[in-house]
Amino acid sequence: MHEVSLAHSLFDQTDRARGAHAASTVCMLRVRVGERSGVEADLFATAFDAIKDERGYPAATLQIVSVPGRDLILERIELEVPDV
Amino acid sequence: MCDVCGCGDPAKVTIDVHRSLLEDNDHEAAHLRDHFARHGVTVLNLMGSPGSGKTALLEATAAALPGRRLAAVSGDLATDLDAERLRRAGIVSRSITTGSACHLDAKMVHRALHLPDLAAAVDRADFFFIENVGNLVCPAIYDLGQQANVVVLSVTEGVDKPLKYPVMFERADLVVLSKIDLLPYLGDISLSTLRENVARIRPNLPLIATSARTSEGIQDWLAWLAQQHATSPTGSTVPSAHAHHTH
Ligand SMILES: Nc1nc2c(ncn2[C@@H]2O[C@H](COP(=O)(O)OP(=O)(O)OP(=O)(O)O)[C@@H](O)[C@H]2O)c(=O)[nH]1
Ligand SMILES: [Mg+2]
Ligand SMILES: [Zn+2]
Repeated sequence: MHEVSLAHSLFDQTDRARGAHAASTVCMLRVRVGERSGVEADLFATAFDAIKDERGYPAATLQIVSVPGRDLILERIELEVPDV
Repeated sequence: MCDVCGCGDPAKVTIDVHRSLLEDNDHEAAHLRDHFARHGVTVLNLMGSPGSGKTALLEATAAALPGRRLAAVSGDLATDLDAERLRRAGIVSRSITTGSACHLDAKMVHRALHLPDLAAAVDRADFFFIENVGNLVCPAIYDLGQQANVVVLSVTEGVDKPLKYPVMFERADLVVLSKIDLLPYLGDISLSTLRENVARIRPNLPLIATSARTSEGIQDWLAWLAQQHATSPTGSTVPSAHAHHTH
């Protein structure tokens, strides 16, 4: 299942993008998935849930936005910054 | 507060990212494409169902092109069988064992190019064939630095495959219809319906009907290859050399 590889890519992107917020809790990742992207949203969601703990994102949920075309894009990360 | 998971009180922050999940792969593929261009090697990514005849097509190609320098990698879940067949046919060839992965990605191809014997052969080759893992879905989305995508579709798979697997056919530059020597035994398979179904997904996508058994159509395939070679981008001005980097 290439969906597992892509879920890993998603977390790789997240690792990089959260940058300065490394201590925060990621609670949502929004991904645009094109109808012609070659990715099944269901399989992708299953892969996401299967690896999110090992990738250090146990609290993260996945929000998939289905669009026409070939997009496979991490749009947005929502995270919670702990009280300082 | 985080409206999705509702995980407590603290401040919610959003980061707008807008980056492709394939970004790392595409970066790696661009690096490969540069490398291939600098060495004047024409690289083709062969995809198709398990058993569609990808290896057989390459065997027939080698037999018909004794003077050409050919190299290949075969994506294979568990064995070295395809690479062995290709070596017997005179193609310098290695397998990329993918384990559970259903496709090749650019990193796997890059890693294979660090095998000294393969690397040397690829850099001198006229053609470098990447035989992808047999699968009509997953390989299509990964750029491997190839010049063109070839889908090998056998007549025994039925006429509906382009309609059922549109993503693969949308990304193809050529369909090689294989095993046409078997058509007489397949009453319900019509070449014209197959062509129509391919055209419904991608009008003007070229299709070459071949048999690796009888060599029918192989000359047309060779002509297409020659045309690809003639239009290969060569001598990119990118100054780096593949041998001089580390990972
Ligand atoms: N009759 C006939 N049989 C063919 C032809 N091409 C391939 N075959 C047979 O089909 C079977 C599968 O061919 P392969 O070349 O191994 O197919 P493949 O696509 O490389 O298979 P995988 O790499 O395992 O996905 C073999 O038994 C081949 O001999 C053909 O043109 N005609
Ligand atoms: Mg094969
Ligand atoms: Zn897959």
